[in-house]
Amino acid sequence: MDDPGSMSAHPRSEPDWIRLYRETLRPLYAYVSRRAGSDRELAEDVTHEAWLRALEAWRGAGFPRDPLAWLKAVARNLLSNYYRRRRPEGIDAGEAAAEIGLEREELAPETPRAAALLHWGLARLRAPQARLLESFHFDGKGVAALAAELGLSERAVEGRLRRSRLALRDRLAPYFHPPDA
Amino acid sequence: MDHEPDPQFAEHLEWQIRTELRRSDRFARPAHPPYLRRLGVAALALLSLSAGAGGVMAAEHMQAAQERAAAQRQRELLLLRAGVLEEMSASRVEIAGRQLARIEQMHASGVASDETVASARVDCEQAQREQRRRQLDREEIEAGGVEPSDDLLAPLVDGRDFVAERLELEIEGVRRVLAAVVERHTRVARLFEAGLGSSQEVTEAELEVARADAEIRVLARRLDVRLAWARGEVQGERVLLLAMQAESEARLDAQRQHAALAARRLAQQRQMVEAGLAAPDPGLEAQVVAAEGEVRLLEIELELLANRLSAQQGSGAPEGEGRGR
Repeated sequence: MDDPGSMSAHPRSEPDWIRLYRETLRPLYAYVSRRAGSDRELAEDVTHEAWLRALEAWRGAGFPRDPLAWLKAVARNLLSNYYRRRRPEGIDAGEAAAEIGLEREELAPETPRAAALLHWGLARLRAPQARLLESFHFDGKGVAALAAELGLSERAVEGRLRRSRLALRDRLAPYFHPPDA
Repeated sequence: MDHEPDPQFAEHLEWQIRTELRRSDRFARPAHPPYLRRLGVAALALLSLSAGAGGVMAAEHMQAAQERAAAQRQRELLLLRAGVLEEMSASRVEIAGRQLARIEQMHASGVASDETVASARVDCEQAQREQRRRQLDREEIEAGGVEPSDDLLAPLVDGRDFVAERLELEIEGVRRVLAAVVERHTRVARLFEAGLGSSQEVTEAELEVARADAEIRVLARRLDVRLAWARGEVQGERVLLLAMQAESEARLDAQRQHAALAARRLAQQRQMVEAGLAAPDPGLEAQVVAAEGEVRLLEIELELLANRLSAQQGSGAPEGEGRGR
């Protein structure tokens, strides 16, 4: 796999930077927004901060080989740090199903509080489980792609995804309360 | 669901990037070699001194600024290093995960043994704990700006007890090792009873269990002492003495077990010699003598530590350093 962090050509001019900015802004923002449960303010702050860090790092060392992957990695760390410091609120079990997507076997947080809860749960899973769920649900990698990447059969990947979702549900269970509670 | 950036935000960020690029191009300071920077600082300091009291204050101010800048540089360097180590540990977790997946597949098709799967699982968990430890180190640097410390008297950092958190993680790791060696001991003992293994293997497995058990007890006692220190119940030198005592006690237990096993092996050997099935082995006798000698030394060490602790209790414990950083 290519290392997104390895540096290539030095940026030469302002138009180079702006072209790169325009190319990466939408996918970067979408990446952050999906993880942040469409929390616009948070998505903008993280996108902004990721780009400021890119300016600082790339000005001296040059553009990385895969700038978007670099930006996403920074954004992912910023989000993890942000959610690590926030204890999630309890959530109505019915709403949780709809907002996080547990019942549909999809993990797409639709609200900021669902995103906070989901990230909190992911941070408490074993790293390979969390990474698998994130790759599948957030990065949109299919079972076949994951199977090839992990050297597993597609059936084994499906099994792992199922077990990881169950583990996530266990971690989140204390934060769900009955609809009438 | 809309995951499109707001056009105003996009424009504003673009404007900010343009501005920042132009600003840095226009006002970038030429890089001077370090010796010129030092000369500049020295010249400024001389000028300040020659300007009297105001000059002294300016020099002090400058020194404070330099110290702050040095602390900031140190923090950045430590964070950079911690980040690299954390990334490396994440790669190790990934590799161990893949290895485990492969072995589980082999196990499912009957090619790999239970023991191989168990060992790969332990490796994988170990890699995850290592990653967590690196993460804790990085968090400690972020919170305190200094190198992480495992010293039992290290101050709390931003209200967090990183020493205790790392000890808990370590205990969890050794507990997992203990479970694995207990499992191995059971398996080896079963094989021996069925006439398929040697008593030597059983003894070695027993020793591994004793070692892991002793290690857990040392760590658990260190954690107790640390928590007692954090609650203000013990202070200063007493913390270190209690930790030493815990370690010696656990080592003594393990050594006693080792000596007993060596004696048992010697007795078995003698029986075989008497039955004409083996030649005498002076090495085994020497091992028993050495193991018993080590037990005695540890007993003396513990007596000395106990005396020191009770003398200290009589005279009142010295104050420790502050608990917060």
